[in-house]
Amino acid sequence: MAWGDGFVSAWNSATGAARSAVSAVATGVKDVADATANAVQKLAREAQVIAKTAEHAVESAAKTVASAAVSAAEKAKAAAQWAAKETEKAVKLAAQKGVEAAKVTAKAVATAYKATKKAFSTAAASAATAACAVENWVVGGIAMTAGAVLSKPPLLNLLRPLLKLGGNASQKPFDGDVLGSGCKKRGATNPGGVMPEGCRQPPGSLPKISYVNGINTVYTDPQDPNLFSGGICKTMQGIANATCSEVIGVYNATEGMGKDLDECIDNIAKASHAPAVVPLRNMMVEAARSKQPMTLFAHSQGGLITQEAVAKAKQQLMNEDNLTSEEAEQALSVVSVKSFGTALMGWPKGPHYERFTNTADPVPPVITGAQTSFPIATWKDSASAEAHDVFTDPHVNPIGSHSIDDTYLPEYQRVKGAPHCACKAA
Amino acid sequence: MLDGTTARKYAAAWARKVGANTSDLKEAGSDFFGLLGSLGFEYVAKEQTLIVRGYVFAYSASFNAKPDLLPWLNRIAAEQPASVSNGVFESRTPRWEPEKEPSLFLRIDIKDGSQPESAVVSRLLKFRDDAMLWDRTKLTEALDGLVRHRRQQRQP
Repeated sequence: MAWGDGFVSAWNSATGAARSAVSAVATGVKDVADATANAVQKLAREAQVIAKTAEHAVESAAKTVASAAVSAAEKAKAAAQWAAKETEKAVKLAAQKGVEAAKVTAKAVATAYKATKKAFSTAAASAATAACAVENWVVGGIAMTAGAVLSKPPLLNLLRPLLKLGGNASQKPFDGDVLGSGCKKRGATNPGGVMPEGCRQPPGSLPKISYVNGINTVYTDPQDPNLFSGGICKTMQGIANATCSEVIGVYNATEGMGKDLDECIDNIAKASHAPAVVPLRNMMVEAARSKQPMTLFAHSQGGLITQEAVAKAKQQLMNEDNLTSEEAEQALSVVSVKSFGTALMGWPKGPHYERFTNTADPVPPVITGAQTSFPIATWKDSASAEAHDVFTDPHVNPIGSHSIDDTYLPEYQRVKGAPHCACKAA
Repeated sequence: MLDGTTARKYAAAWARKVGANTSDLKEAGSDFFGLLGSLGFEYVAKEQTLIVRGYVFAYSASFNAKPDLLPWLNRIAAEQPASVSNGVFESRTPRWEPEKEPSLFLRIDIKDGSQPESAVVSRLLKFRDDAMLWDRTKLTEALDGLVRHRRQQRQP
């Protein structure tokens, strides 16, 4: 079997894995369904109808396939791990073969998407479409796995905050801000970062981690004066606690990937001038020039922002420091990127990469689909991850499966264990 | 010739295609300018030209200050016009973000107002993809060549 065929098969398996994971949840986890119902109550009249529908869907499905839930989850994990390995192979081959391989890869992926689209179409009527069409793709996939009990509009409301289909312009003024101590804008008068809770160490005495957020992340909530109650500040505090590090945030106010194919592709292209890219690029260039290690956590669409920043840092080192691409990549090897629920491909060579992917998270396959719209840009300069933790932590509400606070950071802690912490309790 | 009304129709067609909002365009006399999705638009009434720009390296004065960069890139653009949608490279701070550091753009000029909107949108899609490719990979390749050229120039 050619690797291209393997990739198609892998993609279909991964899709099946996502379906299985959601089915497993939908059939067995009643309490999560209740949590989902609570979440959607905020979505006004239509959401209340959805909650009842969701509850009914779980009960109905549970009668038929409850006993299969555990095995379905296991299969999902195994299939996704295999799919991830195949994806890594594809990336390596594309890197070896250059442009021609990337073109072949693009064809293989396109074939996979056609197959996926066909499968979805059978079960979810017109709900599915290919590649980048986030709304229909995700809603279609989940609707099918839930036995089509949930109709598209209710699911769309569940996913709306995740995909940010409506947009939220209120956070735009903070786009690209670098956040430090107190989660306030970093600068000469506020040079430190967020420290672990209860830490008595002064800023500058702990390892530093930078963090860039993904879609649907607020900086401030006008109705809640406590910055750390949610959004990027809560995550920065969570990372500081989990790693015993001082955390610097780079706020990315992107509003989502878009509600249809054209809009989604254009939103990917907008990474070229996303404000958050600039501080990340500058941090990487500074680290490369000073030969000081830099660790960056990237979640969701923050992964695409990070990819752009690495590419730009490399180009900046080449043009301004007169380095070849190989020399620039060597210089960038001081950078370590840990990514969560984001792209599997398209990470420019240079930094060290470690990925965490929840097979029940709908966002990574959506980003993969989006990137196939730019196959050469994605694969021409694409490095393999040195470690890839693939795990399955499904939730009825897909927002939970994508959450860095509730899903990815706990998994990171499970994998890495408790940090050796020099922080003395207050 | 491209009048302002037709230029607006072209910009609006692009905005519809990518889910952007033409209310983001700003007026300056008979001119208009602004970002629509990933591309920047500027209509210059005096020249009856709609300039469209795609970002290749955004917001860096130091990057754009290298004097040999633009000549090097535009030599490649002249040799491989299809790879740049028959456009050119330029470094500037555009009118829609005067407070920002200059960016490196790929630029095309639309001067023919007789084209159907669909043809213009198709051309812009190709242009957007070309700019994206330059942003992520072709600029790196071009800089590899430029760095080697600089090193050769320094050798006695």
